[in-house]
Amino acid sequence: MELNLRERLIIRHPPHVTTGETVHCLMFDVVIASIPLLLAGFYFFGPRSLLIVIISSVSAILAEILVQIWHIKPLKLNQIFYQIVTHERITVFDGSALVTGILLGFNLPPAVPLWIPVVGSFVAITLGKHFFGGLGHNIFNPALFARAFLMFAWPAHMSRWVGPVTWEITQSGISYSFDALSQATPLFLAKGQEVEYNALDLFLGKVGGCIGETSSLAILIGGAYMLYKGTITWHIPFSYILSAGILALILGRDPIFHLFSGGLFLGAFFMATDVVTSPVTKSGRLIFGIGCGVLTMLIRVYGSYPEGVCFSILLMNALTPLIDKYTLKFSTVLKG
Amino acid sequence: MDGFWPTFTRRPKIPAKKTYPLGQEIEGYLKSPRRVLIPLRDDTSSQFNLTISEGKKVGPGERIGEKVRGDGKIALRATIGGEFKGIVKAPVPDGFYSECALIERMEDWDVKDQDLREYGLSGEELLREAGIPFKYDKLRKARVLVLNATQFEPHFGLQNLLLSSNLDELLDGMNLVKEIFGIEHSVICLERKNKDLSEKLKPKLKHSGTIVFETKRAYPRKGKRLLLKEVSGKGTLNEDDYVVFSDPWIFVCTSRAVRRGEPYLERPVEVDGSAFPTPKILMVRIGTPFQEIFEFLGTKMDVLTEIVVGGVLQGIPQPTLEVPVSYDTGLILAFMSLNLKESTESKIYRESTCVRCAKCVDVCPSNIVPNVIVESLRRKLFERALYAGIERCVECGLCSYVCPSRIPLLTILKIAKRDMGLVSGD
Repeated sequence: MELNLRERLIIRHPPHVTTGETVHCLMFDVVIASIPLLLAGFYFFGPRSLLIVIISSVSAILAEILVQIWHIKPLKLNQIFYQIVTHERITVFDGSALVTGILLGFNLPPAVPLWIPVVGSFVAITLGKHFFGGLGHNIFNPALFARAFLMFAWPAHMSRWVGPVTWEITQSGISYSFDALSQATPLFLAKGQEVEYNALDLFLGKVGGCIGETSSLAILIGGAYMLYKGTITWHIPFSYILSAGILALILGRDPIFHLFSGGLFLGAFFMATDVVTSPVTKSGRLIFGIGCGVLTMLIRVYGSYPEGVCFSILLMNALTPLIDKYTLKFSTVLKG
Repeated sequence: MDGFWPTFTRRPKIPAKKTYPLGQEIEGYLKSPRRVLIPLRDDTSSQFNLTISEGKKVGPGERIGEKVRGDGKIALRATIGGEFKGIVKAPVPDGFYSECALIERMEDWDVKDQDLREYGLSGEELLREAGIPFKYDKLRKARVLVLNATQFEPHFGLQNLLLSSNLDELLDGMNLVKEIFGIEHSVICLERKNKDLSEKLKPKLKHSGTIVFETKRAYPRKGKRLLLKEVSGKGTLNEDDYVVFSDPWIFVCTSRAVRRGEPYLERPVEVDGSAFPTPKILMVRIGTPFQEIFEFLGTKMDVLTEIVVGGVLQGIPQPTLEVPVSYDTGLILAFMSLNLKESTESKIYRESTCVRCAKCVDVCPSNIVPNVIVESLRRKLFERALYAGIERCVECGLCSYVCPSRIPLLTILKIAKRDMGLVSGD
């Protein structure tokens, strides 16, 4: 006796219902969250800052396509188009290149020459991401990797700061002018001695600095959106900012000044929370944030660089596998 | 294009639950299908022996053999009256091929089920003879009987229905089990959100010796450890003291077997999915092929593309329409599509690399790290998977529900747990 088992149905693994979320969503959430930062950069540093961010994101997307184009055989235009649309071989539609480009643009001073973002994006995508195997395998945050590269390669360009612009509405239209020809960042001035500062200007971002990092208000709005959407969790920003503030108090510095100046908020909400390069366990994320905060303050106070966010996050990125390994057992035993 | 463009609203971490009105009754009764395929194995390791020969005529409820399991023998009974056509190998809902007894209906057969009372048995012997698949060795050791009636699978409303409509028989069955196996306490676990049902149950349960426990959240079928942690509160927990059931029907059957002498021949099954306009709860005979159920409901067979047993999160996909209803099938989902081929599948929803977003870690009820475990399993690093706590997985399916990379985390964990010999209690 045999059964008629010919009538085959589709067999798919569970779940048969999903949240509908894909990697695109995670990446485009970061893009949406960066819109307030873009607006703040435009307002405080003029249209040139917008141009830098656009150049860096476009060149990041181009770099992603160029790196992956060698996998395509035969190399024809319609094939390339097909691979981009289906993102089978060219994964530019997953949005990670766009995010890397935007975040790199935020990390550049507004007065850099326009070829710096192009070089930075290519370094971020090739050396920072695809040399390790693409999205999901990179050890370091690609944008910070490129920033560190640019800081070592062209330190003069990377430390040429301009002050915030003032906008004027005249009869002929809207015009803007820079406050001063060259103004160092508050952190650079604070290296060694205390400086006078206006707390409100520091919070709103009316100080010198990188395009995306000065306005803590805009970063908080973007961070709140990402927290609401669940793209990031509270662990890393909370532990990062809290540990940096506490260490500033212990070292006898002004915690308010150190929290709101420099790229600490940008690092805490946008850079350290990069999903690929931060630990997966909850306790690991707390340790990661604390490590970032402590290293940032140590570099700011005792190091020779005025800013420590970039290096502290890169150092903790390198420690991420180790943190994951040791918190794995710990977290399951503690809570499970 | 859901999943490509971002939405500005937050995505749910747990799927929205479908609730059923409390007064719902069983809507249809498929009493005599044309043929039944009675599964002869509970799992791949159990054995069976049949006492009837091919071509013999059997009545409904007549004993045809017995299953031999680790905890003893359980009677196998014909669920319809007809002719025994032999043993065939067919896929069963639990996801393996099992030998099944094929019985074809005969029109002129007496349709009255066999009465168990003529054997003159009592206690455990009677339950075994009725074919009720309890885990008898666990029941004998246990001190507390727990019924997990929380709704974890979002579409699974059978427990609610049985609790509200068959409550008297259910409580009687629980009391009988307590009496037979010498169990001291019995608990029915309900979700705290399910206020209506617990309000309804509490006055009835006052003098029955059963307690209603309101849990903070719903627990999956295999989440025995998590459920007991909440039920037992603080203090040391001896898991052998507790025996957890998630199917209320088994107690209704116990009551019917003892009081009315009815063997375990039929069970309620919920059918849902896009192939049906509304979800329905049917009473069907054990061994009824799904095809018979769909024909009974008038489903269009030519657009049916997918059948899943067990729910949207943890369900097992079924290869054919010949799969029979087994002793613990509660929910059948059938999906239809007008034009679905492999090439029309969206490329956006394919599996991609893990981006370590840790959404699975945040949602896991037993606090393990699914993405790290699955990564090490794929590289065959089984030591590392054990170190990361794979044996604590309760197979709830929430990790694959939230995964934005569409990695089949649950399937990999399930296969690995089976192959590594790790079993989770249910």
